[in-house]
Amino acid sequence: MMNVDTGLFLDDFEAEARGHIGEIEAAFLDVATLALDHKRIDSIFRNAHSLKGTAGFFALDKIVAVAHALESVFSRIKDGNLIVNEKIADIALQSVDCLKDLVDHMGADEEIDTKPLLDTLQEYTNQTQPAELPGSPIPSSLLISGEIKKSLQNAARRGRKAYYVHVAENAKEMIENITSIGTIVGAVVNGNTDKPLYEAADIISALAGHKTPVLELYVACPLEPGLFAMAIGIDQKHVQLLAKETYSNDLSKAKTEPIYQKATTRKNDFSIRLDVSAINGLLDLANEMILTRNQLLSVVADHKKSIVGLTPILHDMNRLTSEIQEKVMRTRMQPISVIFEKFPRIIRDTAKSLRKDIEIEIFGEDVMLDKYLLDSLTDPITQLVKNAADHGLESPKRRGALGKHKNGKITLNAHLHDGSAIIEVRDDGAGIDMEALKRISLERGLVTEEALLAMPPSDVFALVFEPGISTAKRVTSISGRGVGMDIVKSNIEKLGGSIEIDSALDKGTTVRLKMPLTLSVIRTLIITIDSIAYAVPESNVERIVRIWRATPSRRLETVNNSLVLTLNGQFYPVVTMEEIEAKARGLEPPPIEVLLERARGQDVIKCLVLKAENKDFALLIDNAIETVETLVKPLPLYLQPCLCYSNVTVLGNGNAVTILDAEGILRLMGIETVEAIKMSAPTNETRTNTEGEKQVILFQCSGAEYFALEAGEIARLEVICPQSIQTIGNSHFVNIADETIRVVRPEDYAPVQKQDYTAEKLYILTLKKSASPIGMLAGKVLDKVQQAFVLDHDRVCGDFISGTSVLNEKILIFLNAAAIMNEVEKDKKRKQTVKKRGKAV
Amino acid sequence: MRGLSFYVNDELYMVDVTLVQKVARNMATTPIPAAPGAVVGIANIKGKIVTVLSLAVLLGRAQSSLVRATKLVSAVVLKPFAENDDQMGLLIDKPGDLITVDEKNILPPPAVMGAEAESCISGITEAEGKLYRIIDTNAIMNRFKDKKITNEQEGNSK
Repeated sequence: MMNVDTGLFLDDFEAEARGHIGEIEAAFLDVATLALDHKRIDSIFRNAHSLKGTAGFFALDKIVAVAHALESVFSRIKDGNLIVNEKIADIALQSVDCLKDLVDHMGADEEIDTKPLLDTLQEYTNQTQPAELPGSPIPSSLLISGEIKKSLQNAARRGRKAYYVHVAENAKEMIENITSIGTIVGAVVNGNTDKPLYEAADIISALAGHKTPVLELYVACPLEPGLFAMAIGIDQKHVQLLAKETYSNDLSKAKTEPIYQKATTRKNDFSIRLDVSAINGLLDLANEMILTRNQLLSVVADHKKSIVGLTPILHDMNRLTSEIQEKVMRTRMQPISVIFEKFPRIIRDTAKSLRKDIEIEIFGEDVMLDKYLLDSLTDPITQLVKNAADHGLESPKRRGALGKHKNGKITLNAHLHDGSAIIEVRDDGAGIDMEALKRISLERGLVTEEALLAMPPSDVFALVFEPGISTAKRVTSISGRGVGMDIVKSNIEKLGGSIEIDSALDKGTTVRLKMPLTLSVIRTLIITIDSIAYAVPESNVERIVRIWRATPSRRLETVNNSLVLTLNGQFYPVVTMEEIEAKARGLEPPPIEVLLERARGQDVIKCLVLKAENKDFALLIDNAIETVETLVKPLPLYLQPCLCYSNVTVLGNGNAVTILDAEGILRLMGIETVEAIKMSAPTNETRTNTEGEKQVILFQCSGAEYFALEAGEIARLEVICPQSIQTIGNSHFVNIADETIRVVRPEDYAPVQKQDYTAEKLYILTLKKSASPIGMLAGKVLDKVQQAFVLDHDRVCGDFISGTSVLNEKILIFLNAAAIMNEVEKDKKRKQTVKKRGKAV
Repeated sequence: MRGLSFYVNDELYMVDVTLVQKVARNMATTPIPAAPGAVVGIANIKGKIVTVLSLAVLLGRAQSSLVRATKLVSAVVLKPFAENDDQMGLLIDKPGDLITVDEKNILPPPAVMGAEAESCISGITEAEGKLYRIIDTNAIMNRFKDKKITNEQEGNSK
């Protein structure tokens, strides 16, 4: 009794197994006509191999046994040790029937007896020469020509005997001889089984076209075999008496006893397997339907009121079409967990059978992939996991000797990167023995010695993908024949993906699959710029920032002749579509002042903050419309020179739009890092437009007061966490980029309250021109303002305050950076003096 | 050869009708700002993306002018090429007639048309007193494929 849970993966297996069996069967039907080529044998072999592999994980022992036996027989055929004849094809077809029944009765196959079949298959595996020599004239053509069979059956009923005559010479004479004593019921000329002939005259005329015709005749004649041969004047070895079963209608009864008796009941099919192109067609049609709907809506818009009851109908149609589109789209997408979640169970069972302790770790299960991709990836990934478990991981004993944890670990990881899905199968096992791999490749003549020497390690590992290469020393029911990896590779490449192996001896092996996403659906934000719609992958979108004129903490400014967004003390480089267009077409970019003026002319400036390659930047947009799931289509050839688009897609309204490529824009525009902008932003204060205008940084400390420092006095702005401040004596320090900065609190130098910070993020404004690095600690950096300030020196007084001013009805305390620096230096010297004195004492 | 004729800037052009999928009128086309100048935009026909190209720009007859906002255009939509699935549409002012041309009467394009025109026009012919320029659609596709048309070049030629 098997211990199989009826779970999701078992259903999947069933569908998959049927696929494999179907392919084997199709190939065997060709065997029957002996029109067999190596590709077909390979296909049977591989399908049997895959079936065995997957079945193995579900402990479907009977399927494994039959598939294994079948694979073994075909392994011999592949090697040329066995030649396919009708008998083998027959047994093979019975094996297929048996496999079908086993799959039909999965989980309840006790009553299906596979032993006789297995024994027979075993015989073929062991034989050096098959019992029935292929030379023996078993008439192959008999299988397909029902007409001949019928005639022979009729003749048999009248007491005639059925003969098969193989005529190589004097064909015409032979036909005359035969017709004088019996009836020719059918003939095959030169093995052309597609066109059997029935009339003597036809046969003769067909023969006329050939110089050395080979004729196979089916003859009904009352004479005994010996007499028959004598009567027609041919050597007895060219004549064969056909057994009744040979031409009786039912093939399975043709042989003395079928080795495998088909089970009678069949399970109902609850799912259908669809060609993915059918769904694609549906999807395209659904999209088209939406387009048509929209056209209809716009045409009837003016008549809605005059036609009673139209509005609800249109409403329904609207909803239905959208739903259909979404449903069809959904049918194609599934999380990769569909594949991954099979593995814990599979690994547990494999571990048991291999007597290894294996842990499995799974990451990125929620990565959504196209159904078609997922289906096609199941086999390769299963094979990779099998390899990792069987060959990758060492025995617990060996692991112990190497000082590794006794549990081997297999890690499955999926994530999206650069518009591709990366799927990794990693083990912490023995790794690939590169020397053994080289040796085997040389033995097989796959590479020359010189080529090997020049090969980088990655290319050497890639040899694993060559057919027939396996460094495993034994063949098990799980893997090891060396057919696995080449199938994996060809399957991955068929899907437009790539595969690479990285391995270190005794450390483990990582196999990395990189799959394209062109078939998949991604979530995108639809935006408009200059009334043109674009889609932006949600994964690139950080946030949307709206800037009202009255918000001082959010600002669009120019720095170093480029636009910069200031947001709560953070700076983001800003690009506009006009700049992108100009850059892409090699034109002069529009003057920055024009862009700024135009943006500021709007009531609300909308910035889309994008993230790519760990850099943030903002794109000026008109509007963000909605977030939708879109089907990603490849970029047309005609748009490929454009760096800033990654793909195209069709929106719900039927319009085709491009998907913006944040990385591409970053590269195209050569956008500086946020850090670089931060560095350069405050140094730009030298630009003084109007007499007396100053650029100041506004910030708050622990209290409610507003402080101001001239931007020219600040070297840079850093974000720190409060824990990174270290206290030494009365002084505080923070380490930023290998530099120890003395932290001063403005509260100590102004008549304000000092409180402890509770925020998780603090700011350091490092001062320029200081003898040793000094940074002002701030709780919030609010804004950078450029304007002329009139300083009031009377309201708030202090040695370290240059004055106060008013901005937006708020009082700003202007700190005197130079005075503070002097005081800090003095304080330092005082302490040094104290130290020196202390030493002297 | 049977050709479908159409007008661009009052000039008559013709493509082999067996290459044409359909003549699309009022096709919603989304402009692509950063694309090569000859690209008018992309459109969706039954789920397939069609890139609409401007013959006038390709032939050096006109400067590219980017239309802001999606607009409705008429174009001759070609069947996909054998080597790639991307479909091309040629922007037209108005469609002409279906005409039959005797292969013998097709002349090579005159040198005065210029190099750019020559690479996209396979020949000229006369029928019923009108002059037709026969478009070599493969050559246009190949110009993109061989990266002869890049954004940079287009920009500089302006």
